[in-house]
Parts: sequence; structure tokens; C-alpha cells
Amino acid sequence: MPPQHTLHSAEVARFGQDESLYRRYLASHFLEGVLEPSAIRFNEPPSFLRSAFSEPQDALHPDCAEGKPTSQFGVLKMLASAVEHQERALDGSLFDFSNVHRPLPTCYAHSEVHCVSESDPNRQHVDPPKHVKNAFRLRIARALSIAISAP
Amino acid sequence: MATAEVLRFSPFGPGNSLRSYSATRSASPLRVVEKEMLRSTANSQYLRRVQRLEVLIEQTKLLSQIGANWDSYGAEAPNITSITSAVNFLITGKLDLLPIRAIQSAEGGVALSFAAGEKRALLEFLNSGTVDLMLYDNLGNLSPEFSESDDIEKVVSAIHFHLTR
Repeated sequence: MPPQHTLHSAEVARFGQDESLYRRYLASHFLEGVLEPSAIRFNEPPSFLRSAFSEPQDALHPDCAEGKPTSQFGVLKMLASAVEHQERALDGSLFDFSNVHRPLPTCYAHSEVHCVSESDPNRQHVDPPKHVKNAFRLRIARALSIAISAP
Repeated sequence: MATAEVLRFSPFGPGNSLRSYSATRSASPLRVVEKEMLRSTANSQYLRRVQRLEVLIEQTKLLSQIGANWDSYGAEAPNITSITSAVNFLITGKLDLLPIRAIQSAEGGVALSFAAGEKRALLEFLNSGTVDLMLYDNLGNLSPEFSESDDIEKVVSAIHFHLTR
């Protein structure tokens, strides 16, 4: 069964406490059983699928992978609540990480992790300072576990 | 010295430890054997290190075969800048501890992974030409100690200090 499409459904802002997020991965980014932060990028908002509207295998469906082949990938999962976090930069400024539902036409469950500076009244996503970004990458790499093993 | 000669010479008689024998008979055949064994061990360690370095350099060069969007989320493939920087680092870095492996980074570039016990270091040579170092441990603690530097010796020192302290 294909993933749920957007149709006319609106964004659902609230993520459940027990809700999970799914994301594709390559086996080569595990080292001694631990996911390396080099598997996580944050030069633009990283994408996940929400478990409220998807199953782990939906992450491997072309409808949720921009039509691209996914046979070499597995699927990782983590609690959505693991994203909600505040990181302090070395200069003391604070950055908030949060989940944002961003449905795509063929993948309603699509969401992104956004980072906003606490001092920004417009709450726009920003590319955080290096230490904040790396703290996020490391925390997410530790929170993710395997839902579907990569070949 | 031939193996047969080493085996024939048996210094460990009753009350005759290696240390006392060496101390009292410094010009003995044992001394020659010790020196030869040390040289041989050093040579094999050196050779193993050279072989490992060659593998790492080859691993890094092979990253040029990776295509764009390799992670299916739009990650850039390592470019010539990041690959050349990583290879140069491996060749000239004078590393006491070699990386475990070289792999493509989702940030776009080459990532060298270091490990010692619970300590980890991730050195990323990015396509933009910048270098990013993460010093952390398996519990997820990120060390804030290292500030950005283009000085390769400072990078090597920071990795070594983090992994060995």
C-alpha cells in the first residue's frame, strides 16, 4: 500500500508524545554498531516521516523518496520528542530545535527538523553555529535506532 | 638472527630472569636477540601502519566514485577539494593514531573516523574547503574544547589529546 498522499489534508502541527520519526540510512554509516554523526546533515532542515501518518516501510516507498530507488537503504526510527531540544552556542545564545509537519503531494507524513534562534521574533529556520549543529547531529545519531535493516 | 639461533639460546634458567641476565651480561647473545626482536617488532608495526595508511588513502580516493544524492536526501558527493584535503592530511598529518576509516559525509565531503575506547573523533573535510572536527564519546558528550583551525598540527594535537587523555 502506498504512503498516505496529501490530498486536501492540512498540516498537523502537534506531534504526539509517543510519536516516532523515520528516516532512510545506509549500513556504511554504522561503525561498531553505532550510527556516526557523519550520516546526519544540517545544512538544510533534515527530513523525516511521522509515524502518525506512516509506517517505517513508507520511508522506502518511491512516493516518499522523490521517486528514487531505495533498495540499498534501511530505515531508522526515533521518538519525535528527541528532537525537541534547546542547544546553547559557545557564545551563550540559545537555539530551539523542533519538528515541523511539511506534507508533500505524495507523502503526507513528511516532516522537517527546524532550528530557530531564541532571539528571533519571527522564528525563522536558521543554519546554527557549528557547535550547535554538531551537538544536534550527535544527539540525533544517538537517538536513532534501526527499524528496518539496510541490506 | 635466524629463528633456529633464537630458539637454541635459552636464557630463562632457574633464577635467571630476562632482566637480570641482560643487566649482568650486556654483551651476551641475548642482548643481540633482544635488539633484533625489538627491531623486528618495530619494523612490523611500521609496515602494518604503512599498509593501513595505504588502505585509508585508497578508501578516500574511492569516495570520488560516489554520486550526488547518495543518501537520498540530497547530500553532495565528496568533491576533488575535500578528497584532496583528506588525502593530504593522511599523508602529511604525522598521526600517532590513524583513523579507523574514511567515509562520505552527509554534510558534503569526506569524514575520517577516529576511535580509542569510548572516545571518538570525527574529522570532516568539507567540499567548501573548510575542516570540521567533532570530539565526543560514545555516551553522546560533545567536547567544546576545539575551536576551528586551519593549522593541521593543532587539529592533530586536539585529536590526540582527546583520544589519549
